[in-house]
Amino acid sequence: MKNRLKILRAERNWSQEDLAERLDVSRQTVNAIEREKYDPSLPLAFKIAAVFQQPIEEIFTPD
Amino acid sequence: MIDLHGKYGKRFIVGMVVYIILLPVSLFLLQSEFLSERETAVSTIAAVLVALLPVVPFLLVMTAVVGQIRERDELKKRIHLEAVLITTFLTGGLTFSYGLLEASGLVPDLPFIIIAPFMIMVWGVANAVVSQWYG
Repeated sequence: MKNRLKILRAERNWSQEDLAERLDVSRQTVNAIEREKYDPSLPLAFKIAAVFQQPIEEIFTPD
Repeated sequence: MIDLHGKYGKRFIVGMVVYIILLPVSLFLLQSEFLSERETAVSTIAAVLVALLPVVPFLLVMTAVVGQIRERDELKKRIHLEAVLITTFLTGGLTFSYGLLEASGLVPDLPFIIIAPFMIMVWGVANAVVSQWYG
């Protein structure tokens, strides 16, 4: 699954650590999602959408 | 791999310290006349209990590791799962293969006691490798 996490994070000047803190996950998890090595669970995807205040489909798109 | 802070970290340290103390104590007690000769049922049961003493902190360490993994986020849980799978298949495959060779008399018998430290070592390496892969 592709995602715009890195772009959205950069727009807000957040570090991976900042985003990890907002999502209550480790920095490694944010990094793995950004590098598309790991697809988040549905609850975490909803949390990401809430943090960026965007619909899930605007952040995540199928390959 | 194991965070030594927090409730489960402290439990892990306590378990390891108690294990390090109990192992030589158990081995020392087993050499005593009463436990080594095992002439009565009581002394045999006592010898079994003393020999298994180091397993008690081992269980404490196990609950500490499981408790800590339960508190990790979803990626960390996946890393642990993959590491455990690698450990299971590697240890299972190697011990099964060695068992076949052992049954054929091609290799010397190995004591079961080496399996647990081997598993822990493989688990540690597998955890580091899988964690590195996810970045």
